[in-house]
Amino acid sequence: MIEVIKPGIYSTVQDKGRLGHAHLGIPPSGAIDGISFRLANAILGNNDNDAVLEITFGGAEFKFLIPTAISLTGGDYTASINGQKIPMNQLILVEENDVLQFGQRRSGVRTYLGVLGGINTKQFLGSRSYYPSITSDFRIKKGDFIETVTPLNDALTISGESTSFLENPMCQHDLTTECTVELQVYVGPEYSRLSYSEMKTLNLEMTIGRNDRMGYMLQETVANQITPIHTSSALPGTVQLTPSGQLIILMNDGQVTGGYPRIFQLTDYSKDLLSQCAQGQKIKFALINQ
Amino acid sequence: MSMSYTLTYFPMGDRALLIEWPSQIEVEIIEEIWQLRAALSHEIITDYIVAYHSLTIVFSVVQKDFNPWIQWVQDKYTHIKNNPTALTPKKVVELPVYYNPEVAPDLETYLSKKKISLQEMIHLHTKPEYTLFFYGFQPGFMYLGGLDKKLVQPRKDKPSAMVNSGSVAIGGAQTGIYPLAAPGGWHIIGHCPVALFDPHLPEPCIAMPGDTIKFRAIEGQEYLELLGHINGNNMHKNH
Repeated sequence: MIEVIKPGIYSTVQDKGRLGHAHLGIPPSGAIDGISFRLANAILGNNDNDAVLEITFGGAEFKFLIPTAISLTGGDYTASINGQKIPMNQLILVEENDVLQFGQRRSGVRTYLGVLGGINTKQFLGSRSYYPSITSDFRIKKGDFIETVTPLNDALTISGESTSFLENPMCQHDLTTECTVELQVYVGPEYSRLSYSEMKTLNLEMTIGRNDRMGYMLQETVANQITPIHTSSALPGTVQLTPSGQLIILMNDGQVTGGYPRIFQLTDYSKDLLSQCAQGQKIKFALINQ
Repeated sequence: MSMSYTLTYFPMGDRALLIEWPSQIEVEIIEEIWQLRAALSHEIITDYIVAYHSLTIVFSVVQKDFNPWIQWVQDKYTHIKNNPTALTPKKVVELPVYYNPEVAPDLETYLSKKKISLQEMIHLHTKPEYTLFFYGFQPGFMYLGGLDKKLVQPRKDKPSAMVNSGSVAIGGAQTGIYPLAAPGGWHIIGHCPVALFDPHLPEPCIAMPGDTIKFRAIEGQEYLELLGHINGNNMHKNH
């Protein structure tokens, strides 16, 4: 059990997501930075779908009511336990009544707190991932007590599968970059409807605007004459272009269908990377040659 | 063999395949999409997203080559075209709607823009049997086909910051109900006092694609009774 002393500005329970329900209009949800999510579980030898806490912009404070092991991955917010700084991306043993605090931002946006055995909140439609209207809560609140799975005594042995994931060079990404983040994209279904000059504009550096778990808006606009479409599918990582030129990159809580032309599709890796970028960050789309 | 469309295939990134029919909103096309979707099943496919003239299949793992999948889908399509089966009988779901300015903030503006009376609008909106094409936009949001042409009205220039759950609306040539509160650009013409989406149920939605939706106009008394019923329901304590 974890007591929420400070929830931070937006913290949620997340697992791999609510897959298999898109035909009812239900978005996949799930940890938005999939790499850091898998790493948080792998460090602990958890199952790859065990639920974790996704903490946006730090600011949170938690008290552990049982001794357990935890891991912190993703955005680095100078975390400490009982005032003593702890490292990222490592298994950390905690004692009963230990207090985990987040401090100054060093990198990234979203930190994942993995707990041995996983978070054990109620599942709705096969997932613990918070989503308004589906789970009872859509964010954690001050004073919440979050259930965790009681770990078995031998659970601290890291399984073979987890170790092989940890050896994969792609299991961590560098979030400390100050320069332009390059997002690898495939062309989307309506890309070919763009004119040559519209395509060229999309090669320019752009800036992240307003964003949340539903989507990332870009600050620049791309004037366009693209022909409209009938409502069709949209996925996490789909880049939509509106008639007024707004670019929207859909994320895990984004709608499963949409009426705007789809000009790019991010790779999962680039979507994970984008989820660690804040407003004002410069990005550039890099087309994958097919 | 019945007439076939030429399907086009487009990989959406490396984990999804978009299958498209000609860009039309037609019952014949959506019926094919439902049939093809029912014929497809594979353990590495997590989701099947149906829309007006497309079906998108989403894979759990990255695909290096979509050609074998395209062949697989095309074979299934040929098979269902060569072996036509009758669609399973459709359910008719009747939904009560209270068409009153007290619960429909855009009703009066809409009527004056359309230059029709409330009685005429209610008649035109409750007459059709709407086909539930697919769900999208938000959990439990139904895309319905069959709105009377006389009720078509372009979306609002500026969307409302928040539309109440249960709002019945018209946007362009479409009509629908907002199952959940959300910002929206459609004209709110009524309110449906019945829960359309309950995540506690194994089947969270009240109707399935292919079913028929029929609206029934109700008076204030019945509206309040139905509203009292859903507010007493457990699920709404979670909202």
